[in-house]
Amino acid sequence: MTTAASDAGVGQSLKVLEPGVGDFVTLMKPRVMTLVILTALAGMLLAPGAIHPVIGLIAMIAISVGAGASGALNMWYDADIDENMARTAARPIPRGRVTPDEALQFGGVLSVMSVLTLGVLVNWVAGALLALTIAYYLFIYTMWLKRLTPHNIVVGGAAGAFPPMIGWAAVTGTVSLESILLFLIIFMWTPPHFWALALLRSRDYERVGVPMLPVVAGPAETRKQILLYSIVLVPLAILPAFIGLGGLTYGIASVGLGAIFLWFAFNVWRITEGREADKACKQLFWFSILYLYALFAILVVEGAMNRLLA
Amino acid sequence: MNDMSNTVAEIDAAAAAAEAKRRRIRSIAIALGLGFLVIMFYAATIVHLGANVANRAI
Repeated sequence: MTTAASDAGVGQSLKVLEPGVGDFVTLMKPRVMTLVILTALAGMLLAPGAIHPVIGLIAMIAISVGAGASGALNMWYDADIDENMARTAARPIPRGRVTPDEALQFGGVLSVMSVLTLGVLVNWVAGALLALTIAYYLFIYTMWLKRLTPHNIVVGGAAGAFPPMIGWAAVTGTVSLESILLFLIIFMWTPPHFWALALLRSRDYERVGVPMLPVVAGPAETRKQILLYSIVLVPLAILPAFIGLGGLTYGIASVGLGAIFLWFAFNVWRITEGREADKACKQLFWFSILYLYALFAILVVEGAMNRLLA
Repeated sequence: MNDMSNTVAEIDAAAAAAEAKRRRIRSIAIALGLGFLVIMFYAATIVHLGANVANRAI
């Protein structure tokens, strides 16, 4: 009887520990990957010059896999934090579905392969930028800044901003002012986006010792910084319409969506107490995602149309 | 005592089976990854060569 009961228990517990394909997909942060794909595609389609569709597809695959690999390496290093935060406790490593070693091997192999593939099959400027992105995200953001300074998101946000530059470099083999502008839009978008979330999850961050801005400088300073970054972001995001990167649709959308973004950021700064304050943070957080997706989706569509009609 | 050693043996056997399954999944994933890489490199090589091979002067 004891044996049967134990047997059932053992079987059940071991079954829980077996990883599935879905766990490795989760390790790659698929939602972040979709944004990487969209922004890299925008960079590729807006860049002057031509790229063979097969080479373009290979570049997109390598950039996406590289981004996913850095996500896996981030989850490997941050497993101790993830298990103590409500938002991340269900990730594969804290749940015991994937061991830290497996995540490290998975992320490491994919990082090397994606960089080599992009470098050898597309060009080495793009390959070097992808290597820089992965190294920046792992060493500068995850290992160094995240646990050290409240400016972690500001400096670390650069890692998420590189993909359009990589897409651009895949076509042109260079870095130009236009691709730096696309980089800057994502770079300036990252702090208000993450700080809106950090205001809602500040207790979680405080418990695990991550010095997010609301934990170190307090909610009032964070709200002010969100508004200031938003004031810089919105005109910056309109700029592509004036330098020929974006068309009329982009121009109108960037002004309209930018006005809504500023309104939500203003609300976060203005409403500081109670449920309404939380609601304002949630509104800005979710709208910021829609904002960036919409702007880059329009750039992709306009870029694709220009290439098809050229 | 006997029950206990049986349970330990069953845990060992189940752990070994789980480890073997992990290894098998890993091997399949590596094989699929390498296969995909080969296809990508082959396709890119054909694109880079283009018509140059066919137009080669004798």
